[in-house]
Amino acid sequence: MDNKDKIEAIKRKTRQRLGFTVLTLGLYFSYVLNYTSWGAFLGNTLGDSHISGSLVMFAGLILVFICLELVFLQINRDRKTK
Amino acid sequence: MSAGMKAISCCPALLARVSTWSVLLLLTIQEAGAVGAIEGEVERQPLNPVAIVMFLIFVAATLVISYWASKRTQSSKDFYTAGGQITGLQNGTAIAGDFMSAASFLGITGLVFVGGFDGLVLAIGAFAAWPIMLFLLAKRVRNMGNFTFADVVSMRLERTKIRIVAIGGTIVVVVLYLIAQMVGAGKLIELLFGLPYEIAVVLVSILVLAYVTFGGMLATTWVQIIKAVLLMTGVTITAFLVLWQTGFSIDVLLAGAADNHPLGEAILSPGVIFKDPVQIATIMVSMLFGVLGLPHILMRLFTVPSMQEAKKSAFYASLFMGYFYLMMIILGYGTVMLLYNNPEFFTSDGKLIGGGNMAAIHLASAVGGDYLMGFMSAVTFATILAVVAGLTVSGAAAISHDLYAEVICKGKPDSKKELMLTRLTTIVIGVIAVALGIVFRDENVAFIATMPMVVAASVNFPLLFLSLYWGGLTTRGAVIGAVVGMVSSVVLIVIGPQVWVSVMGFEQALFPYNYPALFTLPLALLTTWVFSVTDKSARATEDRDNYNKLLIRSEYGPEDG
Repeated sequence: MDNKDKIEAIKRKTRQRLGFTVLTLGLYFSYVLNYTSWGAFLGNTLGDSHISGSLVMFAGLILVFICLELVFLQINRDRKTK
Repeated sequence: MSAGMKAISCCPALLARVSTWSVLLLLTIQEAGAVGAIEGEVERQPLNPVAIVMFLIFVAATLVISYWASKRTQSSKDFYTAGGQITGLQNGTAIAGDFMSAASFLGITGLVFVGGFDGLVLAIGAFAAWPIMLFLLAKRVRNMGNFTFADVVSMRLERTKIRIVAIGGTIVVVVLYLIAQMVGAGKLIELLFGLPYEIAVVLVSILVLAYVTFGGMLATTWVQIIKAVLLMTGVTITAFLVLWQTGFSIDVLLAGAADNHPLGEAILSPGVIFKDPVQIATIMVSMLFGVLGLPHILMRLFTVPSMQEAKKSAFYASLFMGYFYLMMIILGYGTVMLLYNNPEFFTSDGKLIGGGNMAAIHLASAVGGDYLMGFMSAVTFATILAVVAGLTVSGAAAISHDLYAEVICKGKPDSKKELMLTRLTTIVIGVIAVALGIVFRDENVAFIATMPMVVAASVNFPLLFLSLYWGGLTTRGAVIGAVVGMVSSVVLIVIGPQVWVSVMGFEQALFPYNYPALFTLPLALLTTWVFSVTDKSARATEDRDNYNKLLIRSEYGPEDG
């Protein structure tokens, strides 16, 4: 692979990196919804339980971020294998 | 009426205190800054023999490791980066250890104890930095640098100028962090172990010097790993015992917490401590981008042998931290459920013994007796040692590597002299840390703990991100942007509530937020952009031309680049 090809490959990877980053930041800052009227529904509980939507969001975000990392690592591993 | 209920029977008074606690505790999530966790609420506790015995075992084990590490620390590379031989799993555990601090453990559970759900915002802030670290920084930083983040930013820019700026960013963050740590350490140890403040500060410094001076980054990393494993073990045991009491039902736990807290079910949702979405956004921006610009954390990316291991480090770090912060839900609400109605943990006038930040330790006592409490206290002390050790390595590298080797010696230092200077710098930092810890003992250090995160977010992160991802960056733009980021951070913190009102005594702050990075980070980025695109100098052309070549190195490694 010459330098021109490498630069093209890097540009693709950079777009991928920035895509994952923007997605993560979007999800992260959605947490602010908890403190706005738009996010009032997060104050509701799941069924008859005491588990609020906000708590689910907190735990869910942590799990989603870990999943995103796994997907990112997997994509890069696949690309490397190819 | 129970002691706990008496303590909070007057909700307006409680909530008035909550806002103060929240500001202080906010500082604590700075993955090391235990200062916030204990400031203002310290009550010296009786000597705790179980905790002391367990702590002595930890110290003995870590000193043996330091001796072992000293045999393997023969060069500057060994000292700064443990010879680059730490595996991704080990490094990820050490990084997680940096974040699973006394501050996180005590601060978050303390905040949930007081205000419920709002306390968790700190956890999400610190955690979300790690996916971004993996996506944006881990590989490229690892491939571009040697020992410090200044190595990365100086690759394509005019090295002396940009290094001096980067050293400035590093030193400000490390020194302020160190002050916050030492004051926090002194007060926390006084609180947990019943040791006098001065003795605690000197003890921390002596132990850290023993680890770092002889064992460098290798010893520091292993101390951090051991501590992380112990803390996760302690948190897991405590969470298990809490859930045991609820029949392993989260719903029963939350119901019990809501029943016992005077604010009832309000603690299950946001809005008890924080109400303003802009305030939340300021905290979240400072936390996330601050973590991405912390020099002692970035330095850990160089301790692994390859870019793959660097990526693994970031992943394992977030895996462990994710687990830890999920456990904080159980521990936090566990404190509410099990402590509020138990007079054993309250003073006669209805205050939680030792203050709100002792909630997690009391919880350990409530579910596991003296042994679990002693264990958790010892781990908390160990945490402080590990974090101060990491800061000391980072500070020593900024002086001996960035300043002496790269600026003064133009990248060609005598390696023996450099290693000697590194060890000397470590000792000087240790002495300075003790002095500052004692000088700032009775000061309001809240702003000192805030500043490193804001400076890291507004100076270090923009420098690092733009040097890796923007071909148009020039030395002039980077230097002016960094200076604007630094000055605006300091000014807005000074005219904000923590200094303008709490330290200087004015009635109202000129700037309403404690964490100004929401404003200073975009300002730094904008300034850098403006002064880069308008830069028509010969140096600017060279800076832009360097980008593509270094881009290849950043993705394919030094061999290809």
